Amino acid sequence: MRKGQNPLPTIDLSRCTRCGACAQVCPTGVIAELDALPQLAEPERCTLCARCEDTCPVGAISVPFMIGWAERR
Amino acid sequence: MSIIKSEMTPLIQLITQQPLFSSLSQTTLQDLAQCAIQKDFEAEQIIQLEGDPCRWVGFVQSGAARIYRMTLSGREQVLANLGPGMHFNTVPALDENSPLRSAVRALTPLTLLLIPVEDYRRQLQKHPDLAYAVLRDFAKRLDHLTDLVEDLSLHSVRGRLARFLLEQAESGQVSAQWTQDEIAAHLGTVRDVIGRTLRGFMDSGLVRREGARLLLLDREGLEREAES
Repeated sequence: MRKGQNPLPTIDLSRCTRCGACAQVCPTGVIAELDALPQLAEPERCTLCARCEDTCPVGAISVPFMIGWAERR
Repeated sequence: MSIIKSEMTPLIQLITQQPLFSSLSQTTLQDLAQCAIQKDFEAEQIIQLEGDPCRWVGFVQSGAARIYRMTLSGREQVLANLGPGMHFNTVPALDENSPLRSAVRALTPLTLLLIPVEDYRRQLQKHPDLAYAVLRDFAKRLDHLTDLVEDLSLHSVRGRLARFLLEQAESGQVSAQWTQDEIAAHLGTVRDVIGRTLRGFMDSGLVRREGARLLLLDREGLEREAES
């Protein structure tokens, strides 16, 4: 658990199998493969959609989130 | 990896910033500062391996580290992620005859305050306020583990996760961020299970993910899940 940190995705390279799926699904091109390793090439463009986390077959990507109530509409 | 030789006075200040040491006397802090060293690690660098002898007690000054074990199938089981102010090896430091039962790795560039284990044991015997602070920390952890054992024996992962989400939302700690790994470690399960269970909650309309927020939609539904 962390407080107040910038919630960018983190990639655990020890779990990563270099499949490239995360780079393929990223809608804004934030994740790029550099030297065959996935990296956040343009983190400022990340929309925190978490598609990379959902897609990774080995759970190597973590996108932190805060837990709260949805506002009533 | 580099070793930074620090002046004693700044090291006392760094030691005081560690929550475990925040109530100690100046004498105890000075003694700790004399034996502590500050050490830098690069991201992904291994700090200790499972099976190693316990060499030091570590306190995170900056950066993040992971405590983990390797399963027989070669998967990494996350036990805890550590941030600034958190520590490791306070338990194995007191067990002189056993090797370490978990490994530690830097997740980011990491700075640790390290107290060699022999010095740590000597300081515990010499300073009752330090020993009491460690005992208080152990008591909190024992409380959490007792609750977890009760939870594990009485409730499913779905139930435990639902209760966890409700407690987090009700606590008002809106700035606390969690990853699926951290939730899994906290609830005594693995990340895959948390991911599948969260997807199940989303499919059932109980929660919705919006970027960096997990929004709880159905209080009654989650409370029903929490009873399972």
